[in-house]
Amino acid sequence: MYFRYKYIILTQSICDTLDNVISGGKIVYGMDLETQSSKIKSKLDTVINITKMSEERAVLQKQEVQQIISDISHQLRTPVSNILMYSDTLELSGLLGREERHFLIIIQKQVKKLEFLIQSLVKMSRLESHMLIMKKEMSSVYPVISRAISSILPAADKKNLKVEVHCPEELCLFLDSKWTEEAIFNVLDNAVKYTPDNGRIVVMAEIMQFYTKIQITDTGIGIMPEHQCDIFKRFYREEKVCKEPGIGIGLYITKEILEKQGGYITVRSVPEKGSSFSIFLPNKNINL
Amino acid sequence: MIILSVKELKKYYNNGEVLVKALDGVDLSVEQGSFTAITGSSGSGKSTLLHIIGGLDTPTEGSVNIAGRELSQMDNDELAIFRRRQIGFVFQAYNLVPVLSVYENIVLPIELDGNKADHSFIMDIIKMIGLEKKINRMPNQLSGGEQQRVAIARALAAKPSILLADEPTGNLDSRTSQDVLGLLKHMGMHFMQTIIMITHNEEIAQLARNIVHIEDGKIAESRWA
Repeated sequence: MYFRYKYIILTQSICDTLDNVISGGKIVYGMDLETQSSKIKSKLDTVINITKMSEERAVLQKQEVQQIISDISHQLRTPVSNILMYSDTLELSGLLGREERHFLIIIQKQVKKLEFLIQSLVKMSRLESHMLIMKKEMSSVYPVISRAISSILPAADKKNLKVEVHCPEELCLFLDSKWTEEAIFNVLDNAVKYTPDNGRIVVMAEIMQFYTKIQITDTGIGIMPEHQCDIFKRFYREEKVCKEPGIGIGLYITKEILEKQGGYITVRSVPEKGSSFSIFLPNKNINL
Repeated sequence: MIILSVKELKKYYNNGEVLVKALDGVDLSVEQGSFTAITGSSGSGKSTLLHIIGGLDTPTEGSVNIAGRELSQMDNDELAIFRRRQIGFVFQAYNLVPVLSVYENIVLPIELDGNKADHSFIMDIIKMIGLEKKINRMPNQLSGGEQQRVAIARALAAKPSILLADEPTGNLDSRTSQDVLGLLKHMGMHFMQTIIMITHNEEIAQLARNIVHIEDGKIAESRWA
């Protein structure tokens, strides 16, 4: 009976210690006693320290790689803008014959593509690394949506698209307004790009119990059902849109921005009829 | 780290004279902390797969390995304990115990295992599902969405290796579904919890990082974001 009692005390002590470790705590007492459980605790402490060290090392290495990518993409911007500037100067100089001009235009197009790629790379590396922390604060949603819309209005006007917004003006959410604007803009930008002339784009905000839904619906070309999950992957583009400008990064960035704020995005689409993207943002501030 | 690996999984039923191949050679591996959706039409074998992964059904052939443990090498008692400690379930039906309160339902699996529930951790979960003001309510005083949130909290409370969800929003309207699924995704990220969810709804599947499509007992397509 006595031994059973001792045994239960020992295992219970081990269990409690392990529970503490699982919840991320440390072993706080009883490591330096001449008992069996104390021996186990101190060995466990060694194990924890070893795993912690290798974890820290892994995190550090990852940060280093991300820093390198971020540095490279920043460094690339200057030469590219120089190339663009000088090629503009060259174009305006009047020193070129017809054929040279033609080649120059091709070079300019390619460099513009490169510039766009580098810009996306900078954004992506910022999102990927933890350098970018969403600065969430209580913000009114209406101005965020209207800023995103005003950036697409010229393009929408050109195609004679009707843009409608339904959003309660008093709606406030805990969000990073700059990045959220970018997230909404990316979806709207696609809507304009993939909606034929005289179409319609509707933005609607709706408050639910935990999340607020911002739905962006267009009358565009739609997305094939089998590709509806792929469009949020980086560099994914449907074959039918390969002639349109773009590299397939916008929706990926949107998804990352939303997830970093505890939200998410889904799409529902019928080919040739239109697409409807739903952006969900939490009503309460939640920490990730 | 791979937390679940399924190899060459087959499940055949002898239905009178017809041999039904519910699963016909499925291979799958799932990363620790990831959110995977398994989609497919009804009768595609997706539920059978989830049940075998959860140790609720046994395969005709093949192996399931969870957190380094081979399911086929456990006897029934071991399997029952393994399920209780390592696997959290959320079904379409909420399966709450009607005579227990919200709090009691959530800590039930932990106490069944003879452990004391970590009160502050449980309260964290309850706050995340937004039921901190209703911890003493009985299941029949809750809405469907609230009951399913309790079921999710109960599954997470025991800190399982894997959370298995079988059509978790099958009984809910679309707005409530969006709320509940958002929470599921968020809690998975917050607690680094591996989640495998079955759904026939492609839009719901988009919440997951990985999507596996099953057709006629075989994986037709896997998409990894």
